[in-house]
Amino acid sequence: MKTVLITGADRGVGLLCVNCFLKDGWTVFAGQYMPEWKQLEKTKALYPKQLFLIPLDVSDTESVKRAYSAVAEKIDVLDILINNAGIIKDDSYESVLDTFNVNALGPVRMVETFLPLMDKGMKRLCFVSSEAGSITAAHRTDNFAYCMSKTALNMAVRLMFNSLRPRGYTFRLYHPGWVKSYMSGRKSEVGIYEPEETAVCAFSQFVGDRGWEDALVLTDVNNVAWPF
Amino acid sequence: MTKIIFVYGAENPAARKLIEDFYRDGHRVYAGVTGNNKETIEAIRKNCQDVTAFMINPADISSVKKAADYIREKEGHLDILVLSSEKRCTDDGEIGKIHDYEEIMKVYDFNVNGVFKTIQTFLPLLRLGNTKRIAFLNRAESSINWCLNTVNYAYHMSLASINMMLKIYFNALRPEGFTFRNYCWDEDENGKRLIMPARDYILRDFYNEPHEAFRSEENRLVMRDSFHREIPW
Repeated sequence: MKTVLITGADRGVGLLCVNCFLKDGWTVFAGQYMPEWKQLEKTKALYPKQLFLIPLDVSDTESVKRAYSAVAEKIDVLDILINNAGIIKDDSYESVLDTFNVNALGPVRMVETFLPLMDKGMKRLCFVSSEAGSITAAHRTDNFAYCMSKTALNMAVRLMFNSLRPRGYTFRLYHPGWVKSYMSGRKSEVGIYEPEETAVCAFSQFVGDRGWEDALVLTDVNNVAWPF
Repeated sequence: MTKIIFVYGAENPAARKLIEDFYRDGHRVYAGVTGNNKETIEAIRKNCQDVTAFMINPADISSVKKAADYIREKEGHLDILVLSSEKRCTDDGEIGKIHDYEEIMKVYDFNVNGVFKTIQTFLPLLRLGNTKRIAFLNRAESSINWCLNTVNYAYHMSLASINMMLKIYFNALRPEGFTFRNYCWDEDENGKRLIMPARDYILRDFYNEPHEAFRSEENRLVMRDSFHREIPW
């Protein structure tokens, strides 16, 4: 049975990705940041042997290490790591750092901590980025903290790609579209896509193989490439 | 025409050279030195006697404000703000080597928030000037498309974020008449005949150029190197 770890799995796209993988028969480790949200536990009751809830704060190095130990106790090989956890905050200097720490540095922490489990698996690293990180397409006149964090993530993925692609790793850099997301604390009333729609597309891109793995491309919910 | 120019990050070689070039050309130049680099202050005082240099701590916005207040008092406005931010981690290797995340955060704060605070603080002075120009001394490896490196996460992520910051400022400020220069420099430039040295690129008004290709540059944010090559994001 193949194995996947998904960060930020409490709700929204992360939770729905968990469901997609479970239905497809995968063993799923779900990074749980907000235990007060009960959906993951309800899902656990439906898939008691397939789903494992892992307390995880990607901005906290010790939490990431504990998560690694908990996963490594159960499996020897992790096939896919999906870095989905993200926050959005205001543009104060403190928020610039907080947002960077979760959205950009969190995936770096996760990848390098979990690499020892991944070397014998499918070797796939997935990152939920955003068009907000595309400098070419940037149209906003504020939201510095969030946009800069996603650009920083794209750059970090480029550096990882340069190191790990020659070792057989494959990469997915995904822009989920304008989702009615939970990032601000409650489900947004504005947006184009329901989380369900973008999760199905994400699942398909995350598990599917490509004939062009040697290119790092930001792809969206319609499989369209975005410029950096 | 004499310009009032503030160069932030003067300890970096390209910024130092710019200060000397601007000074020699007769512009009124102010320098912001970050990283507690006393040698740079001394060197500026020695080579460019009339340049006022400030020691700036990017973590302390009052030090940025102090420089802005001084220039406001002396000049009343600012024409060009030149920014440079080059801090790197001491040990920032390939993925899997386990990074010092605290240090990465500190470097990101120094580089990104340092530039962010400086632009925000100097915007009112720039608005009072006629040129209204923000320039960033960048590196080609800030390009996510071009980057071939595997190390220096803090540095690369900082530069890429600053590119995004400049784009957002461009979107917000271009309608007010602001212009932007994002210039990639390289140590290998020494001794070479450059098509577009930093000084020329930063001072040149492209909206006066006869060729549409040049004029249109003012209405989009581009990153160029000393050979005037456009570098993709």
